[in-house]
Amino acid sequence: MGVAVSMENVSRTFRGSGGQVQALADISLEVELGSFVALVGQSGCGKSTLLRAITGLDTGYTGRLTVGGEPVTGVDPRRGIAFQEPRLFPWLSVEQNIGFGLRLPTTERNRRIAELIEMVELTGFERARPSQLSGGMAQRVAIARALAPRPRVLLLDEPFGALDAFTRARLQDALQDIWLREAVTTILVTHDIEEAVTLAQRVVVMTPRPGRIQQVMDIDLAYPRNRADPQVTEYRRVLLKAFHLDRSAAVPTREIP
Amino acid sequence: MLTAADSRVEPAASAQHSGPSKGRRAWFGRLLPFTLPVLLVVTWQVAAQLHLIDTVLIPSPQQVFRTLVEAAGDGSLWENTQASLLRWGSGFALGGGLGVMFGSLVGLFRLAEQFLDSTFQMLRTVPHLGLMPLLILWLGLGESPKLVMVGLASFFPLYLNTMAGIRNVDRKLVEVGRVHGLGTVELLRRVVLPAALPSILVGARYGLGSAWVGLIVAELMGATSGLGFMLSEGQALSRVDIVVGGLVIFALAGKLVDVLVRAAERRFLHSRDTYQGV
Ligand SMILES: Nc1ncnc2c1ncn2[C@@H]1O[C@H](COP(=O)(O)OP(=O)(O)O)[C@@H](O)[C@H]1O
Ligand SMILES: [Mg+2]
Repeated sequence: MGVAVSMENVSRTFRGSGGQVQALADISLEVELGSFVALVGQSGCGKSTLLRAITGLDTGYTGRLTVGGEPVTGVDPRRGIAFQEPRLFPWLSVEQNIGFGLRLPTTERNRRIAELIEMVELTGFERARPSQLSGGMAQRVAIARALAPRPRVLLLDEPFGALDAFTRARLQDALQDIWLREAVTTILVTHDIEEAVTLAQRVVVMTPRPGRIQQVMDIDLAYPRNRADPQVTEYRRVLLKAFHLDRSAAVPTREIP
Repeated sequence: MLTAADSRVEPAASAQHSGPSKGRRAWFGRLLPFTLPVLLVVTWQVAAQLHLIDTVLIPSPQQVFRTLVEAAGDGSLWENTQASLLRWGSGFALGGGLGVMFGSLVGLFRLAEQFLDSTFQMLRTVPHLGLMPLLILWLGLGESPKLVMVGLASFFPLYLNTMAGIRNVDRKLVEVGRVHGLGTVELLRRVVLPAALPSILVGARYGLGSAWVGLIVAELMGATSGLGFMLSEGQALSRVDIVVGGLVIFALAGKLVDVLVRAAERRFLHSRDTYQGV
C-alpha cells in the first residue's frame, strides 16, 4: 500500500498580539492510501490546524508535509474538505451546491450530481435551498460537495459535532458506507471517541499545549462495523483510559439509595 | 445503506401549509393594505360633499380625478409622467451604477478604501437637495442638472450598501470557494457578489426612493416637463386640484416601482430565514 499523506516534524506556531501559541509540535504521521484515520483529542489540541495544513488553507507550517508525494503549498481540488458547519451557499440549490467544484461537461456533471445525491440519500431534495434543510441534511450536502470532484483525500473537521446523537449516528453509518464504496483516503477529526473507534482503522490521539501525537492505536475490526459491537466498546474503553477518563476502578464513597 | 431518516424527523422542504382558514387569511392579508387608503379617500369625499372642508383649498377626490382625466385627455399627464420616469431611470442607472462600482472597489480593495472612503463619507453628509441651486448655476436649466441630482441621490445608498454587503460576506464561504480551486476573479463572481447581492438590492430600493425625491426637487426648480413641473404649474395657476393630482401620480408611480423592486428582491433573495413578524 502506498502512502497518501505524509507528515514529518510538522510544527505550526501562531504569532499574535498576545504572544506565541504553538499549535502543533513535531507531528509525524503517515496515512496509507485508501485508509480511514481519525484524529482525536480535546479542543485546542491542534486538530483543525493540522487538517487546514493538509488541505493547504494554512501554509505557515514548518517541517515536511506531502500529499501523494507532492509538498503541500496551497489548496488543491484533489483534497476535499467538509467542516463542522455545513458552509453551504445559501443562494444555490442542493444540486448546485454539490456541483459547485465540478468542472465537467453538462451531461457528465449532471450524472455525477445525481450519483452523489443518491449516495447521501437526498433524492427529492435536489432543488431545495439550504435554508429548507435540517442540520443532518445540510451536512450530507457538504460531504457530497467535498466528494464531488473525486478527491484523493477526504478531510472532515468534526463534521457531525453540531448534530444531535441520533442524527450523528445515522451520518456516521452513512459515512462508513461511503468510505467502503469509494475507498477514498479519509482523515476525520473528532472529539468523539466512540465515533473514532466505530469508523477508523487507526486512531491518532493528540494532546494540547503544544499539540502533539500522544499515541496511535490500530482498530483491528472488520467492516461494516456496528457501534454496539462489544469489541468496539472494548476499544472505546482502552481509548478512554488513554484520556484518563476511565472510571471503572473508581470506588464508591457512599451508598446510592 | 441507511435511509435518510433524519429528513423525516425534521420539517422537510416540501412541507406545505394549506386549508380553508389559511386561504381566507391570505385573502384578508392581501386586502388589508388597501383598507386605510380607501377609507381615507371615502372620508375625504364625504367631508367635501358635506362642505366640512373648503374645496377651493382642498378639492374633493372627485375633482382631482376629473382634473387627472382631463390632463390624461390632452396628453400632458402622460408626457409629464414619462419625462419624470425617464429622468428617474437614467439618473438612477448613472448614479446607482457608479455607486455599485465604487462600493465594490472600496469593499474589495483595502487601498481603495483608504484612498476613497473618507472623502465619500464626508461628501455624504452634504444635504444633496440643497445642491440644486448650485447645479442650476453650473449646468443651466436643461436635463443635466436633473440627471446629476438624481444620480447623487442614488449614489450613496448603493455605494454604502454594496461596500457593506461585500465586507459582510462570510469568510468561511470564501474559504470553501478557495478549497474548490477558484481564482480571485471566479471567487468574486461565484461567491462574493452573490453573497453581497441581498445588501446591494436593499441599497437599490433606498436609492430609488431617494432618487425620486431628488427628481421632484430638481423639477420644481426650473423644468418645462415632468411631474415636478406639473406641481409648480398648478401652484402658479392656483389650481390646488392639479397640485394634488400631481402628488397622487407621484405616489402611485413611486409605489409601483417599489413593488417591482420588491418582486426582484423576492426573486433573488435566497435565505428568507429572517423574522417575518407575528
Ligand atoms: N489563526 C490562529 N491564530 C492564532 N491562534 C490560533 C489560530 N488557529 C488556531 N490557533 C490556536 O491553536 C491552538 C489549536 O487550535 P485548533 O487547531 O483549532 O484546535 P482544535 O481543532 O483541536 O480544537 C489553539 O490554542 C488555538 O487558539
Ligand atoms: Mg477544531
